[in-house]
Amino acid sequence: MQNADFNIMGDNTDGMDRISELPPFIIHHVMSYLFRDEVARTSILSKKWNHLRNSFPILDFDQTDFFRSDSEVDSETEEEDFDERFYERLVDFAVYVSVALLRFCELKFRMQKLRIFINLLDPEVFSTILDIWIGAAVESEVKRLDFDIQTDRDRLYTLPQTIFSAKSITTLNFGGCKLEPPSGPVNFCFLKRLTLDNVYINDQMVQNFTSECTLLDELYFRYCWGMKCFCISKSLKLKVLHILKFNENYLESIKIAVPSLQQFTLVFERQQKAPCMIDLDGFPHLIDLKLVGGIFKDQEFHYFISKFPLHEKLFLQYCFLLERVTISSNRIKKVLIAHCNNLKAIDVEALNLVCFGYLFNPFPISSINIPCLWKILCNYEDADDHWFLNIKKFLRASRQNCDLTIYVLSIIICLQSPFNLDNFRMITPLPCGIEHLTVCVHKLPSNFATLVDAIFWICYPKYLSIRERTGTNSFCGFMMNCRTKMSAVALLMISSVGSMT
Amino acid sequence: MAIMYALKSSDNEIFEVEQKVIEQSETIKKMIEDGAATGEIPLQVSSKTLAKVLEWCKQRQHKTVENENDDNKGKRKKERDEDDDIKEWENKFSDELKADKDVLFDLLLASNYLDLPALLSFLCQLVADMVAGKMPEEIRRMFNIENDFTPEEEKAITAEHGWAFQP
Repeated sequence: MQNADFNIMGDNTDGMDRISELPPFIIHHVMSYLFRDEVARTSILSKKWNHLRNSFPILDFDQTDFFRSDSEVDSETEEEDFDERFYERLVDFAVYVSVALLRFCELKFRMQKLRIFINLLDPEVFSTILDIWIGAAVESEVKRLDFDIQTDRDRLYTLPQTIFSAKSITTLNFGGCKLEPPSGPVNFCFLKRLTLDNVYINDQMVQNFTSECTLLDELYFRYCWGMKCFCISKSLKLKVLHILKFNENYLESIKIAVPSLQQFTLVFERQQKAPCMIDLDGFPHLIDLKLVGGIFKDQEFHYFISKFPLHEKLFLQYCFLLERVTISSNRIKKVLIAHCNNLKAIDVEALNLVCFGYLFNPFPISSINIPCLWKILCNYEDADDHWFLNIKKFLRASRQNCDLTIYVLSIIICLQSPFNLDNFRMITPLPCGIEHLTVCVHKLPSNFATLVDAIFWICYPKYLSIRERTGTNSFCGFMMNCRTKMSAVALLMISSVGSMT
Repeated sequence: MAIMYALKSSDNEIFEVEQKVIEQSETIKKMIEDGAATGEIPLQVSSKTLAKVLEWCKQRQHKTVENENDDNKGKRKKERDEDDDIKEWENKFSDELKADKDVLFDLLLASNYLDLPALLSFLCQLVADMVAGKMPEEIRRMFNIENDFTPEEEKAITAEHGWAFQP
């Protein structure tokens, strides 16, 4: 077996070790494509490789590596034992990291990246050693620092002041720690990308970062807290700003005025109302806007988007304060509106749109003038006659073709029973043609025929797909059987069915 | 009419190549810009290796030209087909190199010397794929790496990186 391997891999017969003769940076380049454990194992190949691995400038330490082996035993052992063993492993990990960092620093090479993921029960005990690790990285002129500490929110590790002298840093990711304002200036003159995840940071510190890091390009806040007035106004080059869910209720105001901004995402909890003072102004170059949560009322929203004509992408989700939305732009290319549950009217006039998605919203009064195929996803859940009437009206608002996906989540059919097609025909026009209808059946309804009649009364699809999650295929079977028995409208439909799954 | 250049390998073989193809090499581009490249451009690369380098460059050149000529209509389908073609070509190219590792290492050194970052990355990824998932003994055998550790030293290193040796 071993011999066969030998030949397939085309091993050299002259037995020259050419890989070890490659320049170290090429071998490091190869290592950068390997997993952590694979890199670690190269140290045992030979003395030369041991040195190559010790001088590898990407240092990646993950505490979970030290806990993999005995996960099965865990459930059976006593809690006390577990705590003890957890602590032992933690110490092992800390020693391992310290030795590797120390070794690397002695070589006086530049560090490309340091990533540390650690889960601490008690950050105070470890804070000195964490400070040393950061100090070592700063001393080695680290370019990218990724420091993720999982711990209790009320026992956060405070980042040491040495971090602010890391002049060479270009990318900085902090998770689960506390950032205290520096005593001197922030010296991140090359910082381009900053991510703060679950970090305690105050107003002053946000100011420091954005006004003193002049090259800052991308800024990500996720679940951050500690701020009262979130204000960014002095950043000159910032292109991307993502604010994902402030992890607190004390936020009083948000003020953002960044002329260079191109991509802006502001996400609040689904039902959480944004703070009363939101001042977003001056984004003349914005092309990609994503708003999630109750941020704007109609008037504020329209005033806001009227100020940047260049946007290409608009994404609105859970914007429950919006009732009447008008989108009129010849530049916009992509619009997605999802879960905006209080929409009562929507007007879309966008001659260059290439993608329009209308996902899980109600079906309001609408006028939609767009050149592209649009996608509608909706839940059929205890829907009544009105629901079917509204969706039909909505579909007819646009002469454009659409893909419609209906998720059947209800077992109750609330239509007048039996469903009277003639009555409905009298009060509304013929069903409209659509490109593709997908019916996803999650719960089998009590009356298949009524559901099918109602759906086909809404629209004629060119293609019909049925997906059933109930596992019995009963709805599909029903559809196959009724090909011959269906009412006139439905029969027409089935004969044009292109794909049936 | 495309401008042609003559490249001379270390074993004195001449390769006639379009300027656009060889300008992917920063090293050669600089030589041309500096005016050092009138007549033949002498390179410290063997003809066998240089042929492989040019095979790569032509494929890359082909790819970029086609993308420029595309208009938007039907682009997606075309792109997908092209991607498949490129993948197929790359797989064949990789298989040849895996089978003859001397060429692989010569090519690695040449891509560094000629400053072809895309080729260098591609080859490094290829070597990484060969190493990935293998145990040290297999890697040593594959590349003829001599284990110069004493059993005690080997034991100490295995112990230090214990986590990486667990199944």
